[in-house]
Order: sequence, then C-alpha cells, then structure tokens
Amino acid sequence: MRKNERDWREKRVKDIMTRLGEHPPVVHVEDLLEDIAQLVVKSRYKRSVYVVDDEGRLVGIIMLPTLLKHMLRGQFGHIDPTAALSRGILDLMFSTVAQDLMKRDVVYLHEDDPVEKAIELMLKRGLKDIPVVNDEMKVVGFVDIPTIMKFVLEHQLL
Amino acid sequence: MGADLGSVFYIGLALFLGHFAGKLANRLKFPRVSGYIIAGMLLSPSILKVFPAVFMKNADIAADFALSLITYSIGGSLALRRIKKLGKPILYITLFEAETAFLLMVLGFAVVIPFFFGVETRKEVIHVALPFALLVGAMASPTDPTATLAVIHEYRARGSLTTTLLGVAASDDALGIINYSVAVGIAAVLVGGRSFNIFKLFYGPAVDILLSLSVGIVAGLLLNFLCRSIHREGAVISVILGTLFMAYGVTNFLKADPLLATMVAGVVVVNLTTNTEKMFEILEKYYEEVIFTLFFVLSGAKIQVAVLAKALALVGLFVVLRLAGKALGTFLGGKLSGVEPRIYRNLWFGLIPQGGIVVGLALATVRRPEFQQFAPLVMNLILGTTAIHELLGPLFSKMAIERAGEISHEEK
Repeated sequence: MRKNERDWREKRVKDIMTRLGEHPPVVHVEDLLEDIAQLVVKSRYKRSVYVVDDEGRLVGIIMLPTLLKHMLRGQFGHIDPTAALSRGILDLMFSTVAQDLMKRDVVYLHEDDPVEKAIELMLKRGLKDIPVVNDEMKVVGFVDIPTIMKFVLEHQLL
Repeated sequence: MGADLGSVFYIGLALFLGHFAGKLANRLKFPRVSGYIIAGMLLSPSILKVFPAVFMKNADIAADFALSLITYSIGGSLALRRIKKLGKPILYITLFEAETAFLLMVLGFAVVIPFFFGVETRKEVIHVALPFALLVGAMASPTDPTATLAVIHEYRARGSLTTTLLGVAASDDALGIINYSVAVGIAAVLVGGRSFNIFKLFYGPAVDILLSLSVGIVAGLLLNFLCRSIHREGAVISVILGTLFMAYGVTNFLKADPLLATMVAGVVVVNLTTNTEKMFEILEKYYEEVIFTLFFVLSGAKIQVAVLAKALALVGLFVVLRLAGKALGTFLGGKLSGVEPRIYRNLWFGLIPQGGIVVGLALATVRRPEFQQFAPLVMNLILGTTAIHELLGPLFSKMAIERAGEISHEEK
C-alpha cells in the first residue's frame, strides 16, 4: 500500500467535514413551514434542512425544492393539474410542520466513519450532501461534494 | 382500415395519438384523460374501425397493468397520519357523499332495470336486475380530483370550500373501490342463478374480501421489507411492479378482487415506509403517463355506438342519481360535522367530475366471466356518463367555488 493511500484511507469524516456554525440548518419536527423558510433565507447552508426531535437527535431531512413546493401549495402551480392522477394533493394541502414534509430514512454519517464511506454513499446513492452526527445522534456537521473534491485533490487521488 | 398491422403497431398508435389527444384536451381545458378516452372512442372498431377487433381482445393486459398501478396509488393516499389531519368535515362529507351516491344508485337502478331489460319474474329481478344495479352503483362513488384541481388552479380559488372539496375529491376513490369489492362479491353470488340464502349472500363476498385483504397485506409487507435495502430507482421500480402484478394475478386466480388487493398493498406501504417518495412518486414519474395513456385509449376503444345509443336513458338516470346522491350525502355529512351551510350547500356541485378510476372499474367488470351478459352495457354506460361528467364537471366545479365566494376577484 502506497503511503498516501494508507494516509487517506485512515482519514475520518470529522477530519474533513464542514462544522455547523451560525444559523445551522437544523429545525425541530414541529417547526412551521414559514419558520423553516425564514431559517433557510438567513442560513448560509443552501441545500437541505435537518430535522431533529425533542432531544436534538436527527430524525429527518428536508430538501429545499420540497420545501418550496409546499410553500407554494396554495397556488397549485407546481402540480400538473391536468395529469392523469394527482394523488399528492392531500400531502401538499395538509403539510404544515417539518415532520409532514421531511424524508424519514435520512442517510447520515458518524463523525468517526472513514471518508471512504462518505464517498461510497455519495456515489451509490447520488447524494449531494450528507449530515454527520456524533454518538448522541446530534448533527455536528456535513460532508458535501466540494469537500470530497478538495479531499481527492489534496491526496492526489486523481 | 382493412389490414391488421399487428398488436405492437396498434399499441404504438394508441400511445402516439393518445399523447396528442391529451394535449388537445389540455388546450381545451379538459383533463388529459378525456382526450385519451375520446381518441380511443374514435379509433374503436365501432367508429373509425382503426383498431381491429382481434387487437381489442388481446389488449386487456394493458388494463391489468394500469389497474394495479392506479389502485396502488389510490391506496397510497390513505396514510393514517394524513387522514388524522383531514378533519371531521372532510371525513364525514366523503363518507356520506360516497355511500349515499352508491345506495341511491343501487336503489334507482334496481327499480328501473327490470323495465329496461323487460324482466318480469321475481327470480329474474334477483338474478339480473339487482346485480346490475349493484355493479353500476359502486361506480357512483369516485370523483376525479384532477378536473377539480384544474378548475381551482385556473381561478386561483382559495378558502375552506376549496380545501374541503379537494380533500373529498381525492379521498372518495378509496371508498369507491371498497364499495365495488362488496358489490362485485354480492353480484357474483346473485348472478350464479343457484338457490341462495342470506348466509351465502354474505359469506362468499366476505371470504373474497378477506382473501384480497390478505394478499394485499402480504404484498405490502413484502414490498416495504424488500425496498428498505434497495436504493437504485430502477431496481425499486422492478420490485414494486413485480410484487403488484403478482398480487394482482394471485387474487385474480383466487377469484377474489385484485383491485382491493393492490389498493391494500398501497395502504400498507404508505403507512410503514419512511420514504413515500421512493415508493410512490418514482412510479408516477416514470410510468404513469405511458401506462395511463394506453389504458384510457384502449378503454375508450371499447365503445360500441349501438349499445350506447340503447343505453342513453340509463346514462341520464346515472348522472341524475349520482348527483342526487352526492348532494344528499354532502348535506348530511356537512350537517353532522357542523360546517357552515355555505359549504354543504355548494360543495356537491364540485363532485361531478368523474374519470379514470370508474372506467377502470367498468373494465374490471367487463373482464369477469360471470358478468358477461351485461358487460357491454356496463362499459358503454360508464363511457357515456364519463363523457358527460368530464364535460360538465369543470363547469359545475367552478360554480361551486364561485357560489361559495372563493374565486379571487380579478380571475372572474
């Protein structure tokens, strides 16, 4: 095994992740749609919002396009009203808080996971960013594609 | 057209012309489904004679595909967490409008059909008129939410009637399938012609429904379990389609109700899954258009002008009875749930549109060997009423929201 290969294989997610700073993109399961949107506007994280329960544990993720779709539900502009079936109507009409629109089977990384796992998840599942949690399932940061690209360049993996 | 170009050509033609007919319908402010059905009617062996009769006989497999997907997606709208949120008015109005329309239709047709068929003896009434009335009655419940949605969208309507209307229109299809399951079960015993008693009349259908429920629950659990560890979209689609088609086939083989089985599979999945997007939206995204275009064009092609002409009086009766049932049910459900009179006095106008699922139910009926004697009549009756409901529905939906004062001013 070459040195730099051994070197990069030993790297942990916490060594490369972006740590959450001010206005982290984290909301409570009962937070209202409007408040989530306010947070997104203020926050510098612009891809997804992480949803946590009363104990602050990660339980879901909301992608920003989903959020926008629900914000505009009164307009019905995003659903094709002439499609053969529009089964999503009820979902849209009655979604008011974070847990109504979040995706529950959120893919996450533990801060001690190897970087390799992050790369594998991104490639296999087509993910653009993955939240990173600690032992208590609290979100401490995230890994996104530019972070991985930087890592690849730094370790001359090209 | 004299030459038979083979099934593949006609499937291609149905998809191709269906697409343009759907677009045209959109332009004319009708749901796409109307365009598909009308294209099918024109191509049918009974009008322009483009589709050969042999092809029509072979094309039923497309209907099975489509029906299992439509019912699965209807089941997918029954997430418990959503139902809890719908609130009393929507739940009450849905229950009452769907069931009153069903019962009123069964009663009305049971009274009229003996004269229409010229049956006289009590035996004939029980073996012919009553089963016919039951089958047709079950088709009174569903409402097409897309036509309603299109109108609401166009006029930018907002308010409590608009919300209730959409909720009711999107929920009553499930009740329609349950009614259909019960009706088919009882009708099958009745047409059997054998002597029967009350025990037999309910035992048979109860066993059928239990069987369908069991197959649906097993399929739903299996799907949920398998798809947990599958992430590639293509693989998820294969597993969903595979499981649904098998469940549909098994229930058919057991002579139970495959539509109920696939709907129940949808209900189980939506309530257990942590990712509804993966389990439902992928299918809608990739498969809905192709399968539905084919399905509705072929359903439309089942029209037989001669049968429809004979059934015109029944078409009128169906439209009137359904409307009366919806009005009465909305009134009762609205009163009991305590909504403002503005809502229960106007909402039923918005429940007229009817499309996709009833055509599916009619097609499912036509395919059952025990109902062969009145199958063409059921199919043509439903095609006739669907045409009327889709043409008039949007106008009445607009009237409902206008009368309730929920059309924004500048859009009038």
